[in-house]
Amino acid sequence: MSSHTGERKGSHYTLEWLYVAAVIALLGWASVDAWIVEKNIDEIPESAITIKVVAQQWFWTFEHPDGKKEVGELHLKVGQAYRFEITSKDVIHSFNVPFYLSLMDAVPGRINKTWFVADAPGEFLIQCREYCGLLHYQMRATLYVEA
Amino acid sequence: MIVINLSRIFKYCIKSPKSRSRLSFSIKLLSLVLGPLFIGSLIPILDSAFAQGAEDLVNRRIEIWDEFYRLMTVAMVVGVLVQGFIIYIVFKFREKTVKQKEVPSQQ
Repeated sequence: MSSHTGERKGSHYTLEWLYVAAVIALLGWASVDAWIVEKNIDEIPESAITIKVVAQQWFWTFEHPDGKKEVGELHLKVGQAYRFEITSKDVIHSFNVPFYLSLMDAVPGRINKTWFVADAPGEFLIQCREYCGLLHYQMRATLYVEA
Repeated sequence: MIVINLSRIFKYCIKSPKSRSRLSFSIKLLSLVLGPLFIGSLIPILDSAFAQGAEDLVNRRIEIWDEFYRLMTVAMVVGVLVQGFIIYIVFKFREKTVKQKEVPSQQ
């Protein structure tokens, strides 16, 4: 074995540096990549239509820009970007559309925003993802994405 | 502790001309590996800067899953490198191959 004060005999100096460099480089690349993706997906496009989402024990209300309200279901158009302004009337809930990987807390007195492009037609689940009381498990709605 | 160890390593490295040349070789090697990766990491930033003119809708679902698989791949590769290195060290310095020296007694 070599000591830190003497000559290193039989050491794999180059290999060790390569190993350190490869690990640092990979982790650095992953960090930069994740930061860029996060920045891209956080930016809400200007063309997005705003839907106001109100959560209360134990149902969801959705309001379209023309004032039309829907309770327990939401109809969206395929290929369109939507901005969701989410709030709550009573306790903390969480607006979750699993298929579109959308998750945002609904907090009383605060408007939180999230967005997505509804790119696939069909019926999808909207659910509450924050325990909000006795019927939390039934606090669901249906998302209809229409062509 | 880390600073002390680093200074020890540095002192060791600059002690002899041979070590100095090794250090400079390592720095060259590091820059060779890290340089292209650094430049590569800048490309997506430049891409997103030039793409701001026309509005392209980002599909969050696809972006997030893509990122998930990329990070999983990186995690697996780093895991293989670190575990492989540990296995290599354990194998290289196993008791059978390292010759034990007798420690002189204090008395």
